[in-house]
Amino acid sequence: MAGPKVLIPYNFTRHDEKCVDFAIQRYGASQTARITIFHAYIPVPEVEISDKTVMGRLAGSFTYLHQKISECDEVLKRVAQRMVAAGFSPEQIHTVFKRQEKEAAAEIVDAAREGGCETIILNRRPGAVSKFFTPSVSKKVSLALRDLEIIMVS
Amino acid sequence: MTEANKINREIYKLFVQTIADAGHIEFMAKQLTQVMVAAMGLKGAALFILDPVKEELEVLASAGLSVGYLQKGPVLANKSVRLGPNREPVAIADIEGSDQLQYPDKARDEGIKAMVSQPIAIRGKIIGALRVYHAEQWKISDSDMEYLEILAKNIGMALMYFRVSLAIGNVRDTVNDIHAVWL
Repeated sequence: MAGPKVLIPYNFTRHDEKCVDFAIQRYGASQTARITIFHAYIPVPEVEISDKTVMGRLAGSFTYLHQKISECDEVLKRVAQRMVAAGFSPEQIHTVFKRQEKEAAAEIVDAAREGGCETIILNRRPGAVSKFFTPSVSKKVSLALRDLEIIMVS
Repeated sequence: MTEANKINREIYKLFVQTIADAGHIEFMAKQLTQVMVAAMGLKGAALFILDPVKEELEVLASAGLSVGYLQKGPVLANKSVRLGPNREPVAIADIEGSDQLQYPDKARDEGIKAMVSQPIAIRGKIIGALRVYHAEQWKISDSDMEYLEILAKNIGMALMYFRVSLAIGNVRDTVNDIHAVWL
């Protein structure tokens, strides 16, 4: 029998770690739960400027930034390994590291739909001042996916 | 210790273009820090928002810095980089021997040798900080400092735009939720 499919959007903060801890607690005993740890990264911009010296320097530096982005993929895989160490089988844990094309909330909604997830584990950063500048991801996700179970970990 | 200019008019145009082209604040902040790191040959760059209640700086976006460094702990506005009495820009040409950092050991482990912090203000009130980090000792030139100061003002205006845009979007959503029977 197929178990629940769970999506954990992960953004490399200690709040995201709490979501992982929660998933370990809730699904650790399940042999059938399928968990996807998801991160959409903002790509390095494509730029074109007339100053050839600067353009040459940019090309070299962008390689460094791509390398930094790849390091995040490695961190995501280590999170998956932590879940395996906590009792999940490697087949139960899946990571998705993809280029962000839309707002973060829209990426999460797409990932949940494409993955056929029934549950999303989100976190809330109480008092985060960036909420005055950025739309609430949890609000947008819960409005777009009313038929799914949304768990807020704070 | 280098003092050559890292920012010229072309590079500055690129920074402003990155801000102007962004459709979302996430992209604006992240791609600006990425372009700064690339164009200035930096170790890293970060954009912080000030939490006026906790007096902490919250990372909005960064580039070039490790996850471990970003999770080093709360960044206290008055301790992370001790600001001048009027919250003026701070430049630390060599972190060794400097008493201005809140986490000097973490900075050393990250490979940071120098940093510059430029406050971001709206209407004279500090709302955040733009910080750039260098892997070598670096005495920033007066010209670069001026460019960063103007850039911080542009960022302040962009943040104000995204704030207003978010507020208007929220009003629109609320109005759209009202059933015609109530109107």
